[in-house]
Amino acid sequence: MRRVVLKEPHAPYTLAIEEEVLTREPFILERDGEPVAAVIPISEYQAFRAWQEARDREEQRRKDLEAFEREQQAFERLKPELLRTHRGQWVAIYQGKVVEAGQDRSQVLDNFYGRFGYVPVYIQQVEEQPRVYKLPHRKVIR
Amino acid sequence: MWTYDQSVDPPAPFVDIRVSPPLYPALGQSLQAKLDTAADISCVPSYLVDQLGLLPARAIPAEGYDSVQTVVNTYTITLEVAAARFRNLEVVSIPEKYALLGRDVLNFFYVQLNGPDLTFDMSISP
Repeated sequence: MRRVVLKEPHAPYTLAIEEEVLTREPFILERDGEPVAAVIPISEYQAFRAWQEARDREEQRRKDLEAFEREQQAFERLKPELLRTHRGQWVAIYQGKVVEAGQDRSQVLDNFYGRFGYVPVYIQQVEEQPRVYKLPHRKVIR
Repeated sequence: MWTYDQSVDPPAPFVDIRVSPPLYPALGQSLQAKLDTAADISCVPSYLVDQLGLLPARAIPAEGYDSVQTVVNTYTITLEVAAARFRNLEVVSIPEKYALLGRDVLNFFYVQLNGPDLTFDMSISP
């Protein structure tokens, strides 16, 4: 790995780095003997950014899924009461409570998104036995 | 008029669709969808669920061709197909590169399959 020493006060710094050399190895920039930055090929930076974004997406997805499962559990908890008060209706469960309800699923969703935005929510129809959907496709993700 | 996709065996009718998350039409992605009259509910590829950041909407019991029931999560999307737009459509996820259009969508269309010619028509009006 190449090391390039930065010296004050020659700002802006000028680095003489041959592109061909950079594609082979990264440069570590040092100031007063301490590494302060690295210069890497753009392809490696792009790969790093892609990895970073994928990791952030995965983390967000995990949090969203946990929030969704909490709302789902809230629905199951509330279901006996909902069967008395909202039977046959679609309900939106958010932060453990019913925040929207109605006969039309799409309208319930529109109302919910209008109030809270695109955030984790559990949208379910209140019925004794849930409908079973036929999906002959051999692979469905659980 | 569309032609069957002959890269699958046997050839099957596929259409171009566009899928986007609710509230974010600009994030939509185009892909192919196979017509599947056996499916009660439409499906999108799992990679698209990840790329579009789709949030699960609810859990439903689903039964496959082997009659085995599993519980799967559904997602809400906006679907554009054959000059029609479906808002807040509920779909499930499959590990494929293509989507499936089930009867929840197909029943809004006139679909005419011409197997011998490997062509088909699909439109909102007859």
